[in-house]
Amino acid sequence: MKIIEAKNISKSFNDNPVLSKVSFAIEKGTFTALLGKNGSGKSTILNILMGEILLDKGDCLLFGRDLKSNPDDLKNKIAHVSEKIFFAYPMAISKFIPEYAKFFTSFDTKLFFQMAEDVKLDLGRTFGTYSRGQKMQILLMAALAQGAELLLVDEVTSVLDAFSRNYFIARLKEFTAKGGTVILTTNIVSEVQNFCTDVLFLSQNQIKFQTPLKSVGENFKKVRSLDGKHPLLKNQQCFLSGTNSDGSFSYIFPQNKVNEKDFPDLMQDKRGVTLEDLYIYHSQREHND
Amino acid sequence: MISLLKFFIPNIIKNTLFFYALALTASALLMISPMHSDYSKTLAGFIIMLVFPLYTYFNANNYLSASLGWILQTPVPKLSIILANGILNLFKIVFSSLLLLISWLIVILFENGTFELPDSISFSRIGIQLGSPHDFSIQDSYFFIFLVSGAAALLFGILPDMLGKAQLQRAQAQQLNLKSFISKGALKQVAIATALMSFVIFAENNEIPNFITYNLVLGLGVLASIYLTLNSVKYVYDIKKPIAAAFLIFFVGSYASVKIGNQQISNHKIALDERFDLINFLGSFQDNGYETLFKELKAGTESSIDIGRNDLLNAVQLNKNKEIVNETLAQLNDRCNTQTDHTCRLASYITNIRLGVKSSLTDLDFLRKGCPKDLLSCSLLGLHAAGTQEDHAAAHSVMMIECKNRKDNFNQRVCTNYYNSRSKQIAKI
Repeated sequence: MKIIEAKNISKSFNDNPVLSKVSFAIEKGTFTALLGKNGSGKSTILNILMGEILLDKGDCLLFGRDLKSNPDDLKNKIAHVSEKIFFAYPMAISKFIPEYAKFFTSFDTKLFFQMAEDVKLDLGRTFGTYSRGQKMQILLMAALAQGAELLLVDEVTSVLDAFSRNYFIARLKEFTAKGGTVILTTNIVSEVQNFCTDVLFLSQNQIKFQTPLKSVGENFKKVRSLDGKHPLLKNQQCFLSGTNSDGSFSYIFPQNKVNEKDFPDLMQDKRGVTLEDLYIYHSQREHND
Repeated sequence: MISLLKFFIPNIIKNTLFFYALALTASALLMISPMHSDYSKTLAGFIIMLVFPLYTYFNANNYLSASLGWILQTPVPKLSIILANGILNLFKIVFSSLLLLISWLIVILFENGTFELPDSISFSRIGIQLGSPHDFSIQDSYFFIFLVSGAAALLFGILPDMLGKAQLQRAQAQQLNLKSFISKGALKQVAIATALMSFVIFAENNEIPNFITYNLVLGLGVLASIYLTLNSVKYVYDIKKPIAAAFLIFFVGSYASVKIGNQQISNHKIALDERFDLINFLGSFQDNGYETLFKELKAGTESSIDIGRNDLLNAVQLNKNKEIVNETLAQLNDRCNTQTDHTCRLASYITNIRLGVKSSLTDLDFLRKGCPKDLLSCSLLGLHAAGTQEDHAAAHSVMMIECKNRKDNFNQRVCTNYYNSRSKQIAKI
């Protein structure tokens, strides 16, 4: 069941196009990683879904309802987590959240306080006094407790410490396991490799590809080289994707552009293409284009 | 919308009451400080009548708009958010104005022992009397606060797009489909300019020469100190330190300014005392007869009016011999002629009338020559002192002419008092 259907949506800021005829769909129960370089429009898409940004062109259905009809009540079904959100009120979070909960139809206050206890977060302070990571924890807890069906998480996991990141990712996976849907934007691609189900890649104001994670590297291959001097590595479709612990370099290329059999066996990288490799490939392609 | 109002109104009340209590405490501390009473009263009034309402209007905690970041995550319809914003701003105005009204009533009760309004103040012109009555009073301050509040509401409540750019993230502003015309920096300037303009306007409203210069500098200095300190230091230190620093600057600055300006103020006050003594004389003259006048004369210890007081007292009370009195008066008149002291001349004139020595418009003319700067008050005094119907009518016509010609605040107040007392007299008749 599709809970989001975007068709040819476009958005510009001060005549600078951020999204240009973007189309995609999100299935219920998926955990989608929304990837792209800085300024590629990831946050813009989330803000559009939240109704915080109005579309210039195109259509977008959310839970089957047109975003243009300004369906404010849908915010019971959507929760947004972003650094831009600030519980700006001189009230301790422990007092603020029960008040905040009253705005929603199914906010689970107990769950919120349970999560705070799990991550050992003292809620007796006002929002502004917390560290950046703690603020994100509070926002994530509020979003998870809201009783929403769709969670939009905008580049917050990168500011969390290892413990809380694992905790909240587990919570998000649990959320999707129960039928919830998550769209998460991040610049740390490696962190989503292990738990997202789908990948949506934005590049040059458009969707470059949308694919399930398991098939993300199907059409790509990797090779390793100690010096990068193999002639085929000079191919314009072949990009450096990272360094390895043995000091060698990894290169990624599309199978239909470069034949892996042209490389000696010793250079073959059997580990498979990761999401990060793919991200680097497309980013460099975009840069070269 | 109801949920927003339920959330914000109790907190606005709590927040406003908290700062109101702070303002009252600060004012009370000022009143008991070693500062000159005129200035402690002025500063106390400044805090209650200007800083408090401005804080109430501009404090981010009292803005729904400042909380839009999270409100926009809730299912509350956008139109309700805007309406609630307007309602809350109106509520702020009404609530803080109510507190100001209570302050004013307390002052009235404290000073008069009753809630009865003084004759010269109608309900539309209520305000807290600041400083000594003749030095600094805020007429129309309550009405003025309403005007400022209205402007603030218009700028920051009813037109939330003005606030949009400053308080909202761009995306949030877009969600409300608002076009922002003003930057965050510009908004600050608007707030500061509003505060400064408010001060200038109500300073000018009093139109007392010298008052504006001193108090404006003081007020601007205090405002600038607080603003600059908070804005420059808060990025370097913890937020509590600049607040403490601002208060330190506030008190040290105001105390120092009083010290520095003490001599100037003292001179200014003496001049004012002389002028307002006349008004006091008139009041007592009218209500209690000449005896009060002489009590006033006797009580005087300073100022140039003493030149005539002692002589007159000697003449009137110590020696009833008419010849001696006349001789004394002649000396007094001579002295007044050489000194061109209108107060002296007035005292002389009043005493003449009191003793029945002279009572004619000739004296009034004489008086007019001697007090060109305060002709109106001289005329008024002459009017009260006039012994015959003709004298009274002539003096009244002089008053009417002078009231039309003299538009400065001092003389206008004299005229207002005159009109009021005359209306009463006519009503009695």
